[in-house]
Amino acid sequence: MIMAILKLDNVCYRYKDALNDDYVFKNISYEFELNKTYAIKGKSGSGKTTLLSLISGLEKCVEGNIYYEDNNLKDMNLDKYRSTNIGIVFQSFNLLPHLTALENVILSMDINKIYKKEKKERAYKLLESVGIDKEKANRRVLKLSGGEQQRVAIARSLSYNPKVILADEPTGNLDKDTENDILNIFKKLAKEENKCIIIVTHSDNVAKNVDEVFELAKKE
Amino acid sequence: MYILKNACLSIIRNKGRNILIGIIIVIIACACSVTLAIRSSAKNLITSYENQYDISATLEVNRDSLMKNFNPSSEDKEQGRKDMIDQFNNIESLTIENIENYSDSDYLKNYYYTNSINVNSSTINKATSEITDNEENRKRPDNMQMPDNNISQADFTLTGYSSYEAMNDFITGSYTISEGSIDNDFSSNSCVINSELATLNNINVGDTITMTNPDDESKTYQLVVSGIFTENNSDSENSMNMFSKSANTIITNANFINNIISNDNSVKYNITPTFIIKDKDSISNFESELKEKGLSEYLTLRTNLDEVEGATSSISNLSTFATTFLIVTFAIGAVILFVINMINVRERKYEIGVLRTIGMKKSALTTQFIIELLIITIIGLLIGSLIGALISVPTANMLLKNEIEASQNNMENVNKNFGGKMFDGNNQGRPDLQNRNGINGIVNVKQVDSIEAVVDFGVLLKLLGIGILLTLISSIASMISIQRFSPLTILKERS
Repeated sequence: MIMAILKLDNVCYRYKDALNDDYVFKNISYEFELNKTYAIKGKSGSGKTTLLSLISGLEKCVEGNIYYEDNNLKDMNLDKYRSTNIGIVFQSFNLLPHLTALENVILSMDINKIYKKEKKERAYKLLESVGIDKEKANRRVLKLSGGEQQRVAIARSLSYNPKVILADEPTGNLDKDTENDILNIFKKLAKEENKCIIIVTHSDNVAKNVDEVFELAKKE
Repeated sequence: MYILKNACLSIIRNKGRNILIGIIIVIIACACSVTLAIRSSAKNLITSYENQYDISATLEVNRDSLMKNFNPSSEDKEQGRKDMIDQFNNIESLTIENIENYSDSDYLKNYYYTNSINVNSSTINKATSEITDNEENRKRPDNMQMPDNNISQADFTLTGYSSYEAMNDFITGSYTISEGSIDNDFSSNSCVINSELATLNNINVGDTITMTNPDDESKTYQLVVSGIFTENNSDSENSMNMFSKSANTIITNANFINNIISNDNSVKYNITPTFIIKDKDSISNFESELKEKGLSEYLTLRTNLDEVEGATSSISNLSTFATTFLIVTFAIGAVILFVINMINVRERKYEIGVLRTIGMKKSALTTQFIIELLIITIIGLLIGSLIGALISVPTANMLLKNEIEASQNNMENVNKNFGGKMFDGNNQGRPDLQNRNGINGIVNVKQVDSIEAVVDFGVLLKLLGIGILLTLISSIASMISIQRFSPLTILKERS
């Protein structure tokens, strides 16, 4: 039996200033496994990004629990969890513009303190694995295209070798060809690197290309 | 380590923002270094000046104490006046034992005294413009300062000094040796005499003169003339006299006079002590000690503190101004930096959000922001203190010049208030005003008219302290923001 890396157990969320029964979503239970790609689909306002924030430890659920390798997130140091176990890729890349692609990846390595030596070589390799060559790696990220920036964001999310990659509309700002390139990277990561990839998306193309789709219904 | 590296990268890659902060810090550092340099140099200058000009004190009649029992509105005014004179005459003269007792104090650096007796001579004539020289015309050559009950009237004053320091007239240049020298053996029977007396009596260096006790001519004192002095000052009171004031003064050492006194109890003498006080804080302690040792209530300690402090008053004013300026600069600087840092943090909200999202701890992020500001502050301080070092000397002297001009204008104004002839530059104004703070003190002690403001190690340390304090104050903005911002909210706002 394959053990779930992430488990959602009756997760509910409402905003702090919302009424008691005004939930964004209620009683969500789901399990995510390694070696698979997942798409979380749903209409605008269904709480896709909020769910991703809960899984990444950026937000805390109001009711229910989220488990990472059977450890309740409520009992974990979320800064450490984010910098070790979870890689996050955003629609708007969220790279540091004053740094080069290489420096963005190395900074992420520095923060999680996993690698002490050969960081530069590892960063180059990671960037190369997502299609960024050395010349581009040494450019400031603002001098890269959207697709290239997203590749850098993926490389950064992989820099400390997390088991789970969360991607929030990672192809939302990209053209179709680039979207396919990025999807291929994710699939490769799941199959070859034994990662669990969770993608929040609107795109049917993305939904078609993943192993499982979890649809969030908009509340009535 | 990565925090430092990231901070350095952030500084280098965001030049525009950091240069702006740097310029403000340079201006603050420059102003602070100038004011600190002025403050520190002024303090050193005042200390060295106070060390150079010892705080000296002497004992004098306490007129206020004498006058307090006199009631001008009483019916028998004449009796009151007589009582007051009696009180004055009953003040016990100071003795050598008194002086030695008073001088045995932890509050003193040194002491010396002059001791005077009146003498006649059977071998030399006094310098006088009178044709007849009878008893009635004999006047005391000098006004005795201390109560000198029944002190004998005579032709000459024999003044003994206990050390070179006591010979104030020679130190200030009022008297200069024109021939021979002052014997450095303060127990010999040598003396120096006025050139006018020497000419009048055809006395040369090496001659022996014989002085006599005015009450008993059989008692004689032999003195060998080791030098002849000239009096340089001619005061207005004595300007129409044929001879200078010191013409009949014979100067010897105090031991010679002490021997005369110890061998003959009937000799009346006048002793004037000078106490060199350790520092100004010791003045009141010494005064209390004197009272405990039995100093008469009609005698009081008078110091030259006003003169010494008066000479450095312009420097003190400058130091006070510098301190005020420093506080204002610091306060304004702190506010400006706080505001800029707050704007800076708002501008960098996105960066904060990203770093927090990828797992950077709040404490690490705060440390990075503080390090960034600290690096900029230190660079700003170095540049600012360098500029400050260059401009502190001319700035200090320019400010000092204004202070001195203000002080001189004040003197002129006071002079005009008294009819314009009060202070003639030779310290010969009204005796009752001669020792007023900041008036004749300026003439007595050389006024400080230049300052060497130096940005030294001490100043740099203080600047560093100010810099760190400013950094911490202005970093409060970033600390609060980092604690408050939710990374998700920041990134959502951005999206």
